[in-house]
Amino acid sequence: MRWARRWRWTVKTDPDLATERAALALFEELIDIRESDRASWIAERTADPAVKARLSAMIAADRISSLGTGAAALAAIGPAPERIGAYRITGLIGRGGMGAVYRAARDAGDFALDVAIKIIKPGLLSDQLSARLAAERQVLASLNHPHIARLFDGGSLPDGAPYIVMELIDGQPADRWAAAAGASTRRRVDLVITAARAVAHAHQRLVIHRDITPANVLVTPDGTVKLIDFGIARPADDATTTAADVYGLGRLLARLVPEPDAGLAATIARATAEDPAARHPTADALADDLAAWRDTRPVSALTGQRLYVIDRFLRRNWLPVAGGTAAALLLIGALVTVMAANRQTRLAEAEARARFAQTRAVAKALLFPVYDAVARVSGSTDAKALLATTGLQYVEALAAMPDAPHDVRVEAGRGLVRLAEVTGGGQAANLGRYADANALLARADAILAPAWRARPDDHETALAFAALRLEQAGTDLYNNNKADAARAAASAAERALQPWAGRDAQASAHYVTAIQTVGDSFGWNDDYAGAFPYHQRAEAWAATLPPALAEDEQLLAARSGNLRLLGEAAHKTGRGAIARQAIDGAIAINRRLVNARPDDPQRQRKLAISLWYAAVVHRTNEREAEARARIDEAVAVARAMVARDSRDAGALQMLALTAEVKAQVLADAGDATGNADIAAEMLGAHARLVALAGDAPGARRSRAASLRTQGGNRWNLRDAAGACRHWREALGIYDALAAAGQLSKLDANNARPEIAGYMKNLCAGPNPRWQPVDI
Amino acid sequence: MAAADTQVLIEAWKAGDLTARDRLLALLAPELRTIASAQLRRERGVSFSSGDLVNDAILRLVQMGRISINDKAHIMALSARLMRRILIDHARMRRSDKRDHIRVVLNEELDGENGPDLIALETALLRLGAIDEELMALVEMRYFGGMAMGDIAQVTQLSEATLKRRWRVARAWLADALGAQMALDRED
Repeated sequence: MRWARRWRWTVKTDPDLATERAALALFEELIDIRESDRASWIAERTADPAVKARLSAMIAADRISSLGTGAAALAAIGPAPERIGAYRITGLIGRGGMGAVYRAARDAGDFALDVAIKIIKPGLLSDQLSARLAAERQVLASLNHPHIARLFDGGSLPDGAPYIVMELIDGQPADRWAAAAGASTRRRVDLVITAARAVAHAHQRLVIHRDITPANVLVTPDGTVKLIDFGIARPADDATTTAADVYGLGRLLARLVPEPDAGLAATIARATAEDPAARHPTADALADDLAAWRDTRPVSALTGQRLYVIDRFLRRNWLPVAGGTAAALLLIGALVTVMAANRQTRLAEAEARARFAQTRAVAKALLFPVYDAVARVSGSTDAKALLATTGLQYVEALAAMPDAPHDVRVEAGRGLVRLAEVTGGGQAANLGRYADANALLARADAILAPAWRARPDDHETALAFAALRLEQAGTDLYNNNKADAARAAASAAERALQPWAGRDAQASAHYVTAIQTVGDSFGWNDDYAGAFPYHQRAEAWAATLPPALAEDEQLLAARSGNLRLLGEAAHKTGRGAIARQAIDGAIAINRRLVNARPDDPQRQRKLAISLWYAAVVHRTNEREAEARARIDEAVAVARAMVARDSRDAGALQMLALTAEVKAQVLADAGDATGNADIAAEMLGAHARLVALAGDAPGARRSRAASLRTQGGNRWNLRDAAGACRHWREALGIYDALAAAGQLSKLDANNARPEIAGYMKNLCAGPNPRWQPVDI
Repeated sequence: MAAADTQVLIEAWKAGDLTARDRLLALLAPELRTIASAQLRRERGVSFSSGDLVNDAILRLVQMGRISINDKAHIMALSARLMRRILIDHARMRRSDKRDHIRVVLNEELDGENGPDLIALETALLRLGAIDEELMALVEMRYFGGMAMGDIAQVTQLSEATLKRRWRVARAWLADALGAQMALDRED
């Protein structure tokens, strides 16, 4: 075949084949790498400048093709010149109606510089306009502003096409960045404020942008806003005034905030008014309007829930919290005052700087020590949410400021993780709103991942990053049912903690939890043999710690959790002695921790879990009396947790879990009435959990598992109708999960086929009758 | 040639024998070409999708008893390769007589509203084939054959997720190559 021969010919004559292949292979993997992580990802994998150049060309091309720029239009523009002035063209960044933008490297041997060169199609500009562009270039070159791409050079090609050499910005268009980063309305408004201030700076130096669009407002991976194409984006005409840029900023805002509230809608309407005289007189005036909007607004996407949370907090938790932590209330009072003052006046810059420090101190106190103090009080779920939300509003606002210090960013990231924990975290007491938690973790990730990459050796940063990955792992595993993602996140936490583990208590405790979570990601999918070595490794490591660390309460708490899972993995893999020893070890540690702080819900939770699991193991080994004693204690702890805070999803989970085992134990003993009562309590807790979780698969899966067990209990109690009723409901849940692709492997292999079999063999017909069967 | 012969070749191809694929193409090419050319003539001056063409050709081959419908995906892949050649030939003809213009709109555009210059694309595709033959075949099936990812998965034995990722790689590479197409033309 003719074409086959031709391509073989190409093989022989193409010297760049190896480069191309290497670049293609890397690019294929790169697609899944977050845009902000790409530079470091590439640097880790290749040092070959040719491969790197090809990769960046493909990334740029990928951007064009996702944007849907017409390929025919690409073809209509002439070939790229090899070099322009002192620059060698290294790739194409983009092409449009005006011309093309190339990536280029300075090749004059004096200094290294990568730039963007824009070539404007010849003939597009009249002579008069070309002359004006040349004049304006002089002014542009003198523009020196952190949010405006620098203009280095300019001239004309031999064919008369004008070109401009600009600072190379590795960024995304504002609208794509906002969508990709899931930026809050506030961050989007902040972006427009930054752009408007930059435009105002240019206007004061008599430069007009003329074409402010999302494509000309780039956001770099570290979140810096950069305006490109000042004055050169489109042919200038003499009628263009600064009002055109105000209009462009208004359009940008409308594009970034498609559903503005009344305040923003009014600002957009004014900026984009038909009559230029009706618009904001200057870009600064527009920025001021937006800043005023921002300063009277709460920060987060949880705005709608905030008032509700405060309301709940005041009605339900005022007394217990006031009794426990008067300091928190003083701080809240101080903040309310600050917020009110904020609404009334805009402070002078010097005063604002002083307030930065104060606000930061208050916010930090709210997020960390005060939060921790309140977290120890039972029934404080709402209070924690309020504290975290309020503290976060301030820290996030500070972190969003240009040139925010590294540690402020890290604080903001930690605060977001805190809020995610209390909103819908995998383990601690929470409000069960999983979707909100996922969104908060994504925001934390956007701050902490780059912060950790920038300073992996900083203790605070590494710990904050590891805490994020741990929380993500917990959320992925326990809420989102994604074991692989959880394992990856937990492993990342382990790596980040490695340098600090064994040196301080917090890092050591996180380290144990990270290894434990890797193990649990196996156990979650029924792979206890896979889980066992991780739990064993975590325990072996913790056992070698010096007493000062080993006796630390954080470490004890982490260790007890791991011991419980070690017990489970040992039990499931037939290592009876290790199992019993591990579980008894966990209970002992947890009793100690609860006795030291009887009202700490997290400790109660851990004690209840270890008691619950001990009961499971005793029951499996037919030690009825021991099982009964353990589970009675576990249910009592769980009931107390729910009674203190009925909105704590963690407490409800505990009640459901312990009640399920108690229902089994009572069924074993032939107590049909007792079984029905405790089962009703268990299913009631599940129903509340499913509602709290917004029908998340994890909550529905738990409910189905309990229905399955209770069906078996009723069958053993010779109540065939009751058994089939429970199984039918469970099967309905599994079928719905399977239809949505959310059925875990564990359930697909075990629970679902088992129940389907019961329904077919035992429950067929209108009135199923009890018959002996080995369940 | 009877359906049985085709069947033997298809089975051999599925088992990994690429000469069987080429023989199959040679066997079916005259008929595919006749069908496609008839379509092109009938549709002259009208937009059409190369995927529709391929589907139509497959349907006719099935109706004629030449192939089994179970082998649809594999025959589509073959047709895609043939379609590429037919379309390139037409584009070359068109270039020699620009006034007699056939607008070829492909159903899987690289970008935006207009397809790229097919001759430039062909040049780029040949180079891509030298670098990674699988990527070239994927573009052929997807772009020239209009094949669904499910059908391509059947032919390539790759998952749809992998194919989607590789399709994106190919698109990016081609978009970049088409941006620098003049240099490539000189090489040719």
